[in-house]
Amino acid sequence: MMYEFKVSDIAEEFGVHRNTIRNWINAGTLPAQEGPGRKYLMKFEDYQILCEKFGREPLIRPDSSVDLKTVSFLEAEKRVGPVLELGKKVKTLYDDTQWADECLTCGTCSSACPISGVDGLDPRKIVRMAFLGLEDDLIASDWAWKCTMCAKCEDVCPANIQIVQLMRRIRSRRERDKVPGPIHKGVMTCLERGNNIGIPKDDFLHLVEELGEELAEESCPGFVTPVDIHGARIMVTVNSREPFAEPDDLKWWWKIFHAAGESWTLTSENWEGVNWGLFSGDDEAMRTVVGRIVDNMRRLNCEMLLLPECGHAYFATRFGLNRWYPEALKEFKICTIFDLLLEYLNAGRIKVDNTIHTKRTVYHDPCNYGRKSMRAFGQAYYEEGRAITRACCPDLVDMEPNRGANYCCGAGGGAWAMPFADERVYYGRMKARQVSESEAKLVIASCHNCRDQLKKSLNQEYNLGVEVKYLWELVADSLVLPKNEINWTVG
Amino acid sequence: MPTLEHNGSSFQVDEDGFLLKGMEEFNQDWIDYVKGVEGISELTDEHNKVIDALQEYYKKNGIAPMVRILSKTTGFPLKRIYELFPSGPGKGACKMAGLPKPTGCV
Repeated sequence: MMYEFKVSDIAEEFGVHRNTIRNWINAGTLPAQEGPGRKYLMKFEDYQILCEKFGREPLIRPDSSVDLKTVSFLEAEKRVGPVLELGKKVKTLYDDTQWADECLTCGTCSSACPISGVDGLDPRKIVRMAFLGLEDDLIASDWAWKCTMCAKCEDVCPANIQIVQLMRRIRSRRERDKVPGPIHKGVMTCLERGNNIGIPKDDFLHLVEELGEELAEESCPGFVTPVDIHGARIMVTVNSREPFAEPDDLKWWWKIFHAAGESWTLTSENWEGVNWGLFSGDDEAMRTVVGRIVDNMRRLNCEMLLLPECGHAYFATRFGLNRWYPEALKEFKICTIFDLLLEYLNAGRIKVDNTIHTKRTVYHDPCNYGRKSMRAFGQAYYEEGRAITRACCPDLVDMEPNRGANYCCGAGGGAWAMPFADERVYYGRMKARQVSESEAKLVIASCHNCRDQLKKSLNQEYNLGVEVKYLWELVADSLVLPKNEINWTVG
Repeated sequence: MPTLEHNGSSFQVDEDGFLLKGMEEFNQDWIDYVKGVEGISELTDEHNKVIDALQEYYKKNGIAPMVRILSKTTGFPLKRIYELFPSGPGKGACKMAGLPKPTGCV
């Protein structure tokens, strides 16, 4: 049995000064540990020894008037667990009380988290463990890596605990060679070779040139892929997965740029928009990758930066610009896919045909453009994606819940690349149910990870029977091209 | 890291089931093992051609080739590569060829 006390109480009991008690505790003379709420814990036996030493009667006695013999058979059943070593050491996992201390332990976060309960993962438990200094256990567990950092837990937290920051800090403390899957390797490859996969420059340049030639033949006469164009209005980054695995997907954006008569450019080096330092908790790497984008923007003197790949690329880069390169944001603007597509539509720079996608359509809110952007930048993109979708799809419905309360697809936070596929699919059951209940046959996603999880995983795992398109794929497929009003197919 | 046995050969694999030591441990038994886990019914010369192309490019460049390069060096259209390796060139084909898992959102 443990005896819980306040320093001031026990000082009064034994007629000594509070500092004397503290000195005894620090010197180990009084074998007590720091517990929650500025209280201390010691074994009841130690308290009894202290009382004997001072010739005092213990204030409490754990005995009762029950005849112990009648219940002694229960003694064998009594299990005493190991006493956790709490406190004492400095808590390094968080540096702000809002990361753990202010937790009310209400468990709302755990109720909101779609993966809570899986493999012992529980956001409330994680926050408590951080508070109690159980750092080694947190760093050794895979919980922080199975979390998709979707911020649903934070969104519902009445105490405004910064759970996502805490998760990222836990990730950052993992030894680098023990980071799950290819996440850390991708970061290192990007630092060494300028993109996550390590695609050689010549291969990349040859590919984009070839894709441009095809696009010119297919639907955009005169199109030439712009690379390193000085003074272009927009500089566009690339997700290495597209040139690597799905090169034709690059053409959707290019086709829209062509139709809008946009002045834009790719870069020949350091074109990667993906920034896995966000996922691995590696600030230095994250800063370097954002810094390269800034260098490219300055070198080419572009006005706007577009990261069309995914919500993650946009979020990580805007976060990095705000944090490490605030002066660069006075030189150029970071624009979202929503800002740009709406600009084109509203100014009449592109026209879309709304009779092509007539199936019931539902729009998925990516966490990075919605909830997480709102928390980090005070600006979320909810209505914009719907307005663009609506321009192409007359029968647009919402999922429930939606916007800031939407469920993550299950593949965020690096989960798509990490070796926890079962957890990812289980996580996605909430999304699958939302899609299914919407009765839509077409799902629009404006983020790579969300789209891949919906199209390549959840669609099959949960028999959704839906078509999944990127937002820009939808626009490209709906485009009324200036020179050929009925040609809206793309390779 | 887990070790697995197949037809008497033992292989060290990473958490994604890719050969930890890469082509160093690659052999016919490994091909046969991956064939099973990838749900490939019959191994053909076309599979071998893809494996050879992947390994050759990897030896030169230290990464797997982009699908278009793989397509050109083997002469197979992308669709055919997906038919041969249903989980895709980045996953199934790289795994069978003893290459590491590509480090992107593939």
